Amino acid sequence: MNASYLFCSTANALRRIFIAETPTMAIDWIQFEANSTVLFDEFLAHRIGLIPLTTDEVVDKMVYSRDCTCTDFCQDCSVEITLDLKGTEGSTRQVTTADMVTSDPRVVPVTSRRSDADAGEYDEIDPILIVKLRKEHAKWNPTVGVAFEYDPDNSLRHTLYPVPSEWPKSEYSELEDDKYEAPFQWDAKPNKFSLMLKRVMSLSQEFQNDALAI
Amino acid sequence: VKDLSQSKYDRTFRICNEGHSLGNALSSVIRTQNGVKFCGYAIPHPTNDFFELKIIMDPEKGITSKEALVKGLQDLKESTSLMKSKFS
Repeated sequence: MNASYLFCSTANALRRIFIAETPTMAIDWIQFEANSTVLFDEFLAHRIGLIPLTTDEVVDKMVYSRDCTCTDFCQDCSVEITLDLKGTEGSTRQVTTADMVTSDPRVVPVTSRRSDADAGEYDEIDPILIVKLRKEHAKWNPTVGVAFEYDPDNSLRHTLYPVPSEWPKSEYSELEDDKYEAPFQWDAKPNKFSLMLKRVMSLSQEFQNDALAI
Repeated sequence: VKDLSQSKYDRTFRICNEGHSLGNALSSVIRTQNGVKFCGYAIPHPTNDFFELKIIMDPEKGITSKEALVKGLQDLKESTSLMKSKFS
């Protein structure tokens, strides 16, 4: 996404919002019924909590669990996911997110291979999802990375390089190969920004821009 | 939003539940307005969830700080709506 004619501060605010203030869902409350794997409870809970989930349509309608009027959890503030497996073959059984069953089909883990359960052991967990903002914990971060860049040739001298030729040129650079820093323009303002986002099961742009509007 | 004011043209606003994301963007937008002598924001301490925005206007222009704040918010809202419509 290339945006021109923005203030530096607005573009940065957008970047901050993409990372921290767009609500997502993540697994936050896990109840173990039985776990006889080699991996202990907290270990599994931590890893399960970090699994990214698709929450595009659902997040907007959900209420934060803190604010919800129900006791414990309900449909409005959480989604229930169950994991119920037994290793019955002789060898190690791999448990992946494909084995998790959600109560709301629109909320699904982004598939990945995850952990192992040894034969003869079983693992029964009922994790419950909660909506939150990234500010509370990194697992609620909806983006894999936000790349933010402006002034690729350092014409504003916002950074001072001691030896400019040592620094690799960015893909947005307009200089020829043997020049490393554009001539200094002291009164120019940054007005062209490239914000590159890698989102995990994206929330739409629109939603994120919404977050910035007051 | 709480108001700790010295005079109509020199005001400090305390904006709650917001941080640098809004503070920096808002103060730079207000700085572009006509008649603003000074605009800055600061977060007195990170454990408190607010920032203070100080706007000093030129009394001869006749615009109060509060008006500048409101206009700044509207401008910011407009520019993000524009972005939103461009990218969706």
